[in-house]
Amino acid sequence: MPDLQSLGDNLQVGLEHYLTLSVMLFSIGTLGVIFRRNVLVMFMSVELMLTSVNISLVAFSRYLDDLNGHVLVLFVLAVAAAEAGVGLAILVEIFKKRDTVDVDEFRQLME
Amino acid sequence: MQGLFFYLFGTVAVISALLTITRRDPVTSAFWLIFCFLNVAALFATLSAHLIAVLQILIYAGAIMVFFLFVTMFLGKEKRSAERPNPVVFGVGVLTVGAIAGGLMRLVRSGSHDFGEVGPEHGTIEAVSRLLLSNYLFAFELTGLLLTVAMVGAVLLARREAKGARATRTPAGAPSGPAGVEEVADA
Repeated sequence: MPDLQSLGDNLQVGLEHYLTLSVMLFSIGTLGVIFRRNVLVMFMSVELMLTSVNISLVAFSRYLDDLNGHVLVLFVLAVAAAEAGVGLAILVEIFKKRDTVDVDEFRQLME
Repeated sequence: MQGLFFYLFGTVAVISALLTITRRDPVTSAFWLIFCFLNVAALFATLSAHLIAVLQILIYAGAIMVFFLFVTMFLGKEKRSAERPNPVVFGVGVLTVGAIAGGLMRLVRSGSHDFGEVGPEHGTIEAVSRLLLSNYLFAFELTGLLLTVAMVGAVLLARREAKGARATRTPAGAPSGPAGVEEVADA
């Protein structure tokens, strides 16, 4: 595939390309947290934000030729797993009591 | 070829992320998010982060998202709420996110930084594990503790619910002790 090869050689990407992608995914995740009322989708948006930060960590790691960023990504993965576990367990508890996953309903029924 | 793969996987990742936050059904959202995470894993591979790419698929797209899907399906059909945000909230939200994104992009666009060459061992399992188990050994052990605490907390939440359900079933002095524990374990 010579055409694909030359196209690939012409498309040079650097650190700023990956950081731009990271900013885009982070903004999408923030919008999801702000505008969705379904708490499950809000959780998913938070996971999306964490992943976008991981992209920038790995890109900087590649740019600086330094593996410390990769180790930090591993810790982010572990914390995300713990957060998802406890968060979803709490969510199931709330759902059993309130029978809804709408955050506005949570707020109104809390008192 | 890195550029081609970056644009391919990056475009698909952004599109599937947008679909994740716009779909009504949380199950559909979860599937789009899994697809987004798979594309992000491919992006990690273009950055020669082999271990991170594999873990992204195993932990994020695998374990965490299966957990999400399980809970989403467990919660079942919710009462449909009109997801129509208040226009003031909408405007303020868009402005805030736009300001954050604009500020970050100003920083990002401040120069051109091409990637240099890295050795073949960059991002391999051996190299990352060596660093993880030498310089970051204490943090690594703490992570194990964190995951254990999170697991115990989730189990406790579930167990308390099981006990409460039993208490409401038999309000007249539910037997406590080994028999009660066995019943909870059976349930």
